[in-house]
Amino acid sequence: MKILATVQEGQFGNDQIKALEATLRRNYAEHVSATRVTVIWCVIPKGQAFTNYQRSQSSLVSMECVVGFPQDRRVTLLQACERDWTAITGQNSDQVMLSLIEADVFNNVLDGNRLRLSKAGNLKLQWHMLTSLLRSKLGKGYLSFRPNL
Amino acid sequence: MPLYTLASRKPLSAAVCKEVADLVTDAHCQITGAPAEFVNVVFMHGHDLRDGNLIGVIGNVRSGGNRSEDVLKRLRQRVQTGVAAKANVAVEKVSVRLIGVPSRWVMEGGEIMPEPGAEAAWLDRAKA
Repeated sequence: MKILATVQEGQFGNDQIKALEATLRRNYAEHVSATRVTVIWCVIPKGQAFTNYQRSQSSLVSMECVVGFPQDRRVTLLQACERDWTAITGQNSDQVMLSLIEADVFNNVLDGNRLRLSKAGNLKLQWHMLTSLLRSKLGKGYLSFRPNL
Repeated sequence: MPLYTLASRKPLSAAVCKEVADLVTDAHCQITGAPAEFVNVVFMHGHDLRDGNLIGVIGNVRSGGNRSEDVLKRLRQRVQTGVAAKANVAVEKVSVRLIGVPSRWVMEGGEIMPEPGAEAAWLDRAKA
């Protein structure tokens, strides 16, 4: 299963990101499943994200789950993640969007990105992702990439 | 949510990014009735797009509620023509894809998001 966390450049330090990843993993294991989870951080360069007409200060976290996941457990997970995220970052809860998306729709979202790219574009993106994720894992201890190629 | 991502081959200037983000936010709010606080727009560049397109837009939007096929069609068209105009590219070089996500799967402001069309009560409750 995958967790994609989109944050703004310079918004959080490495220690905060590691703490956030730890809480996401812990809450996911407690409320969803003990299955292996891959957490990927997408860091948006300054000036490239907007929320409500303003430069964005928002964090967007999408988590994958199995189809038919119970709603009451979803709400419990999202509440726990929201509580822990705002405690670590000091963000207002309005600046945090969390979702637990069932696998078919989650993959549809990921496929949407692949489908808008040419074959060469997909290869370029895959290479960028691979090298970025490896470099960040070795250098920072977590998987991250920037969306610009 | 919504989250609109715009991928382009070449970077758009800061001014154009702001204009395009405003356009997408306006289009989404005016056509769906959603409040602007919900709308996120993210830009990325360096991407080779399919079919020679210059800008590829993906909008992850809430599904259900008042989101009829007609609403989604008008939203796609408005975003496509508006982005093309603001970015000064041909309309046919802008692709737009909308992907529906059930609102009950998403939390913002510490609350599960409302069904499309039921935002007023949700905002009142969230601000109470």
